[in-house]
Amino acid sequence: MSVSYRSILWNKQKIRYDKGLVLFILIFLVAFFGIHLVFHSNVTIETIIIRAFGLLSLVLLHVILTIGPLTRINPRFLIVLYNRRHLGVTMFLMALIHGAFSMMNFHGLGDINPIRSIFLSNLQYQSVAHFPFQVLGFFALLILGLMAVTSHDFWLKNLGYKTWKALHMMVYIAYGLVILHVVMGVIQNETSIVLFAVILTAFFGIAMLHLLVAVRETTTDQQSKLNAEWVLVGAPEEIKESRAKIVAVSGERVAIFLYQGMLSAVNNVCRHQGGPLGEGKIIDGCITCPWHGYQYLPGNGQSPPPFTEKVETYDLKLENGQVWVNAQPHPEGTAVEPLKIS
Amino acid sequence: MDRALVVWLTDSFLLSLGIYLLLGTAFSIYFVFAGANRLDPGVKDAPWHFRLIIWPGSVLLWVTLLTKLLKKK
Repeated sequence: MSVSYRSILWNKQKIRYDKGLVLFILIFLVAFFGIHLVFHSNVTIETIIIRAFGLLSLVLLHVILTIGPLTRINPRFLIVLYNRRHLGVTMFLMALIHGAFSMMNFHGLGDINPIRSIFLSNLQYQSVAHFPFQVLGFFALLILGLMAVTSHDFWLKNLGYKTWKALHMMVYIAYGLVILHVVMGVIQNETSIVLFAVILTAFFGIAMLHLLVAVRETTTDQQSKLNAEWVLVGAPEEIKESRAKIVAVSGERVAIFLYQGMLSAVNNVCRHQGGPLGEGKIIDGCITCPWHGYQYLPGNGQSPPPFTEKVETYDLKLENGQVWVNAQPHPEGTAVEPLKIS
Repeated sequence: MDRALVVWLTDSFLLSLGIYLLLGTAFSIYFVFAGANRLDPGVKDAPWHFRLIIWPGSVLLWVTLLTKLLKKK
């Protein structure tokens, strides 16, 4: 959250996060090189680099894809999600090293352009068993590169949230390409079934986790009962102080916050990266997004000056001890009198 | 698959990609130093390394950025 842009908005947590990430990468690489040098001493250093960075980027990609659903199941994983952007860029850099060494090693010594060689050195495009899997890796790397270079808030703001989000949802296409790239590479070059089984298990693990969260959230959305233009929220006692309850209203999720004996309702989607505001809490009088700390005033859905982000607000009413939210949102940043409950 | 067809598809794709990136590189020089300031006032006081960070994106997304700049005009 900044008025003018900085390259990286460092803070203590991000520095700690990045130090942890660098440490993990170093330990991974040292262990990988050590194991290879001891047990596969006939393998060239280029091959070890290709394998090490390929596996490392694959592991990081799985972590990235796992964080989102895990935070919906348990908020303790938010600490990993907080700086997922750096994780994503790091993963791309690792994949780029893997790709660059692979290209130099397998395509750099011929008499045609190495990139052209990726597409033309193996023409068995109709064969599943012998498909030129490096082509899949090439396209995956292109997508991951596009995502990495647009990871700054500048792109989020200037491409618009929907375009930016659509661009970054391409990670699932990249993931599919990566899995096919790895599985076909393993089929063509490995005799052991262990690696093949590990990759498929990881793939189905990711798929199941996403499915589980999707089913959970669909169930939550369907729980709200529609009553003309008002939707039932429940008793005020169901909401903890400085926290929110999320309900689905006309296809949108609305977060109803309780603070100082009052209730206010805002759209659940943070304008920064679409974080779930209702899973955050009120800090210093502001609704604070659990993902990256973007803040909004509960009474009008506006970020405190000089920031300019705004979310829609909603009317609330109390009837027979039950809170109801109006299905019709007010325009972003509209002040709404909080509902006093005590 | 027919080799001639694969060669033609590959060469067409790589040539298109090359031209796109070449035009993007030319556009990015303008964008990083001047266009970004016009598009977003928040860039004005940003440090030089911020411009370095947005440079690769402006090469890849030059069509979108050019469209936005023209609309802004």
